[in-house]
Amino acid sequence: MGVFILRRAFASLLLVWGVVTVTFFLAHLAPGDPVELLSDPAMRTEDIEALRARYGLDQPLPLQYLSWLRALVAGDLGTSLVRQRPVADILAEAIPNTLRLTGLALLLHFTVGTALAMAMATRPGRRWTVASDSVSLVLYSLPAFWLGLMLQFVFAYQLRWLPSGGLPPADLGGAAALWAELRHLAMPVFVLGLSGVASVARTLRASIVQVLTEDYIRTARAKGLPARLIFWKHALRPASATLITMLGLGLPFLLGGAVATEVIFAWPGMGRVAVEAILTRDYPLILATTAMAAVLVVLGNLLADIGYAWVDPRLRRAS
Amino acid sequence: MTGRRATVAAIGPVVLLFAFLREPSLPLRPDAIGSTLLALAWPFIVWGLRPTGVMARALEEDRARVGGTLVLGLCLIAAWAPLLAPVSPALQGDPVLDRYRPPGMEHWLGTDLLGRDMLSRVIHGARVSLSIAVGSVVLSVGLGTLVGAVAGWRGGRVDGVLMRATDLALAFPRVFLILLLVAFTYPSPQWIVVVLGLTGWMSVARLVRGELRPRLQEGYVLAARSLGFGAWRIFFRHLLPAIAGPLIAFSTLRVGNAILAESFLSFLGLGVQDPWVSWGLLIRSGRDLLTGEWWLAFFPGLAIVLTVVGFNLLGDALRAALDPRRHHDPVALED
Repeated sequence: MGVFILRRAFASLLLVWGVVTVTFFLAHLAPGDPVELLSDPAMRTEDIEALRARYGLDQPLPLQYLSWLRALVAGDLGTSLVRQRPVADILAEAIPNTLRLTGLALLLHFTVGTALAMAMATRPGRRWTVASDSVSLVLYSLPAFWLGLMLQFVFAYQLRWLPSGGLPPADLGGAAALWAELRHLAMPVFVLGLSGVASVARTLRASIVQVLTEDYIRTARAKGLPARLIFWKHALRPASATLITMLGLGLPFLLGGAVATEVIFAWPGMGRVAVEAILTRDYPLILATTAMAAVLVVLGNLLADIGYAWVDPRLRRAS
Repeated sequence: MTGRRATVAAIGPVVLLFAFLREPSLPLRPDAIGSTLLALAWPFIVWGLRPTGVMARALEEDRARVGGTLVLGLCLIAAWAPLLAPVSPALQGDPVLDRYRPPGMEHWLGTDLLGRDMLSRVIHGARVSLSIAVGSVVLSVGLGTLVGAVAGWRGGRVDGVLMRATDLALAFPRVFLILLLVAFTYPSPQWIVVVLGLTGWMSVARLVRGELRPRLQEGYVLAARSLGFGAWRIFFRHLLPAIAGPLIAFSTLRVGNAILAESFLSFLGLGVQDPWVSWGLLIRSGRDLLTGEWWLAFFPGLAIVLTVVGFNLLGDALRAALDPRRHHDPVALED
C-alpha cells in the first residue's frame, strides 16, 4: 500500500509538471503579450522594448521557462505583470473567497444530493423514479450563468431581497456580519449547488439501484433480513464507491469550479482571477492558477484511489 | 404508428406552405433554397428512416420520446430557420420606435437595441449554437476514438504512452485551457469548434479503449485476424459496430455539454462574434439590461435549457437501453 501511494504520488508530480509546462508554452505562444496589452499607443517603441526587457519577456522562451521553473521550485510564484503585486498575495486573497463559496456548495452537493439519492432509490414505483430522475436532469442542464442572471433579476431587482453580487461589507461585526455574509452567499451558493446536487443525486441513485439488482441483496431479502439493515449495510457500501469518485472530482471544483458563478456575481475568487489573468496574458498568474488547479485534480484522483481501496477490500488485497 | 409518422412527414410541406403564404418568393431566395430542398425531401426522409436496434428500444420510453422530440424539433428549426423566422435576424427596425420593444403580438419575443426581432435571432441562433456543438462533438469523438482505438489495439508501450497523455490532458482545468486556446486567434465559430473538440476527446478515448479491450479476444476478432484482415478493416467492419452504441449514447450527452460550453464562451465575449448569432451571445447582449429589458436574456437562455435537456434525456435513455441489466428489477425494500 505504501509503495503504491508513493508511486502514484510521483506520477502525480510528473503530471503537474507536464500541465504547467504545456500551459507555459501555450500561454507564451498565444498572440499578444501583457506589455502589448498594457502599453499606451503613444509610447515609443524603445520604451515598450525596455518594459519587455524589465519583465524578462525579451529572452528566448526556453530561458524564460527555465528561470520560471527555478523560481517555482524555490517556492517563488513571481509577480503579477498586470497587478504589480506578488502572485502569492493575490492568491492568498482570492482563495478564502472561493473556498467560502465552493466549500458551502460542495457541502450542499453531498448532503442534499446523498439524501435525495437515498430517498429516490428506496421509494418504489416507476413513476416516481422517472419523475425524480427527469427533474434532476433538468436542474443539471441549466446553464449556471443564465440561472444566476435570472435569480439576480427576480431576487435582487424585482423583489429586492438579496444583494446582486460582490463581497459583504467588511466593516460589520457580530450577527450583522453573519447576516450580510449569508445574504451575499445565498444566490451564488444556490446556483453552484443546484447542478451538483442534481448530478450527485442522479449518479448515486443509479448506483444504489444497480446494487439493489444484485443477487446477494435478493438472498439477504429472502433469508429475512430487515430492509433497513440490507440498505445501510449491504447496499450502501458498494454504492459509495461512486460517492468517492465524485468527491475526488469535487476537489478541483473547490478552486476552479466557480468561474461562471464568480463572473456573474462579481465574486473576487480564483475563477475570476484566472479568467482575468488569461485575458490580460498575465503569465505568472496564469501559471500559478493552472498549477494549483492541476494539483487539485491529481490530488483528487489520488485520494479517490486510496478511498476505493478503503471501501473495497478486494482492491486492498490486489495491491 | 403510421399516423404519427405521417404527421412528422407532413411537417416539411407545411413549413414550405407557411413560408409561401407569407411571401411567395421566400422559398426560392438564395439563403432559403437549401431549407426548401430539405422541406421537399423531408417526407421521403421520414419514410425511409425507421428507428432500429437500440434507438427503437430507447424510444419505448417516455423520456427518450420527449428528448427525441426536443432534439429533432430544434434541429429542424435550425435547418428551416430562413423559412420560419419572421424576418432576417440582422434586419434593424426604426431606431426610436422599434428599440427594446417588449414581447407582444408584433414581436413575440421583443426586440433589441437595434430593433432586431428577437424571435428571428433566437431561431437563427439555433443554427450557430447547434452546429458548433455538434461539430465539436464530432471532432472530439473522432479524435478520442482514434486515440482509444490505437491504444487498445496496439497495447503495450503505445497504450502506456497514449493513456499517460490522456491523463495529462485530463489534469488540465478545462475552462482555463479553453480560455487559453480561444485567445490564439480572432474568435470565429470554426475556431470554437476546434477548441471544444481539442479539449473534449479524453473521456472518449478512455471509453473506446475500455470497450475495445475485452472484445479483442472474442472469436470474431480472432477469426478476422487469422484470415489476415488488416487492422483498419477489422476496426471499421467488426469492432466499431460493436462499440457504436455506447459511443452514440455518450456523444449525445456530450452535445448538451458542448452547447453549455459554447454559450458560456460567447457570453464572456470570447466565442461567437456579432455578425453571427448564438444563444450565448444573445444573453450577453441582455446581461446589463436586466433591470428593464429582461426578455433579451431570458428567451435565449430558455432555448439553451430546452436543447440541453433534450440531448441529455435522449442520451440518458440511449444509455439505459444499452444496459444489459436493464431488465433486472431492483429488490424492493419495504417492510
